[in-house]
Amino acid sequence: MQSERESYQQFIRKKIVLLFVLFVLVLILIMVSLAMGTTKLSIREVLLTLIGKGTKRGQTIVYDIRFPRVLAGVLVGGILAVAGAVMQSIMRNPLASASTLGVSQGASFGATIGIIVFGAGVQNSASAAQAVTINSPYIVTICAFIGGGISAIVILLLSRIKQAGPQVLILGGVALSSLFSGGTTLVQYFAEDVQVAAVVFWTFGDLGRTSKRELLLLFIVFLIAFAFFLYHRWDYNALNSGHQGAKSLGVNVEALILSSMVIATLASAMAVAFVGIISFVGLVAPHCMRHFVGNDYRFLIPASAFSGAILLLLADLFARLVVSPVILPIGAITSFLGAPMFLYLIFKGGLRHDTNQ
Amino acid sequence: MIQINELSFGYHKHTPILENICFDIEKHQCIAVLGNNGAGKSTLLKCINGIMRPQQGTVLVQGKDVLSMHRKEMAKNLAYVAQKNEATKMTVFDTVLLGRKPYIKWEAAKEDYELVEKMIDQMGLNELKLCYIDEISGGELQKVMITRALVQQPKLLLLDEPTSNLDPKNQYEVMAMVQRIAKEQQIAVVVVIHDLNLALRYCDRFLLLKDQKIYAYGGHEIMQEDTISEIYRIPVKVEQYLGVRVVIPIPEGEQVCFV
Repeated sequence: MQSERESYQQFIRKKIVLLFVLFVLVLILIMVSLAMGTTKLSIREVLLTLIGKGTKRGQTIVYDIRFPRVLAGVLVGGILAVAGAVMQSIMRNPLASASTLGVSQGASFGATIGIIVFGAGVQNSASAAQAVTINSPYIVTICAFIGGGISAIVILLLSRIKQAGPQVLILGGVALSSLFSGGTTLVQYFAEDVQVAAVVFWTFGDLGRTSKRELLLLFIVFLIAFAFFLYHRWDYNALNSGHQGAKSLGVNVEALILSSMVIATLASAMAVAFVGIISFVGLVAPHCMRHFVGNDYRFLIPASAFSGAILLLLADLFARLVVSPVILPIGAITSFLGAPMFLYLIFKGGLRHDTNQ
Repeated sequence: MIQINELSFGYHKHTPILENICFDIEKHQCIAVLGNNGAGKSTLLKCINGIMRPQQGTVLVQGKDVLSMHRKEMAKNLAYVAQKNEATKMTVFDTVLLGRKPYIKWEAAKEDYELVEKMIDQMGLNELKLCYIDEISGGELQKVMITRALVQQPKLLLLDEPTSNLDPKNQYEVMAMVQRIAKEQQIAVVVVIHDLNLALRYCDRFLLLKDQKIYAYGGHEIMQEDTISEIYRIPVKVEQYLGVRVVIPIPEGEQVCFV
């Protein structure tokens, strides 16, 4: 019996090693991201700068320009991925994520309203590049959050009151997405050119627009969401056997779904509000990780956070380097690279409808 | 001892699903709940463990009403295995470990792992321990789910048609296992079952539901031809064969020749 116990421990140890490898990958990618760009630095220079022994030039590049961007990538990737993983659990639907349930589109609609109706994005400089800065990010963020929240509430009502199955929820998400996309277009139609430009610019998604204060806020949101989700990891595992199964294991299913959905939506709407629409991370990251650690949320939550960060850092590197010095919109890159990757996984048969009802 | 008192449930006031259900169970007994489709068998199980909230009634386990307990406390007293179990990409060990969920605060303790280890061994699932449960057979999954329920260390185990998706060999294995658990671990078991022959063979007492009410409750003596015919609305013969009582349904208009 002792040897069998060890084999389970070995099995667990493998998963811990995987988490460690992912963590190291995140660190490596952070270093590479800090080093790469229009002005190339060596890893040695980056390291020296980080411990405070770098040149003035290095400090400006690393701390003022690249570090906020890289940190935003890590945090937003992490948030979207863990929120996706948790949504997939509580909705009991492998397709659930901020972008498939209409949360991103709702947030985008909210941001549009914020920029155009409340005038949060105004031309404040003559130069083209700065013409469309968002000068009141908090209004945009709050509006985006409300928009995303509306989608989430509709989806929650569908699943609770109508007892809708997984397919119906995704259909609901499709309907909401098209409703909000249509709404966004209509609002844009009546807006001024500059405002439309601000909206389009916002929708592109950009990791570089976050200020240090916003980063702190994102960091806090990430910590709260991550801690909350990790605390409930056993509950999500219990939910794997259905709502009734979870109830009989002592889980307060209704409260769990409501609180998790509120936090997942709040966190993703916040992330989307700061950096713009970034889809597919919430879908691809947890599914890739399920392939390795199974549907075990003890490992799936941290693994998703790391892989979400990795995906976004890679996408950002790609966006910055492929036609440097032009920075491509990150939202487009994640979709453009994420979708083929997802299709590849489906073709390979690595994905199954594990969380199907 | 477990007492179910005046349990009533209905979605609407005038169409009750269960009416005034009262019965007692001794702690080592295996009770078969029998009745037609729609008689309220599954609803009864779900009401007993609070998945559905009965409009009135109590479920007393050692004198305490579990229905008014916190979910977690309830899960330490009652365990439930659903009719259909969803298989996901989780190992047998981790699935069984979830039975300790009501006891786990932040991380499973060493004792939890040891109990899971012991139970998996007792149930003969050692070979499958690290298999994902979506890769094992229906019979094995049923055994895993029962093992998980046992790891909850309940006083009362509720099983909703545990044999309905299994082949004959697994049906008998699972029911024999259930009977053994009731006796060895002194757990009361309530099992909803359609197969009368399995019920007659492995259960001690029989709860017959008809038209939302208890029609009869008792030991083997109540399982007579007329009672069973009344419950299932089909004529039956009860015969002694190789020392085992068997129920043979005889649909009307069909001739059955007993040799």
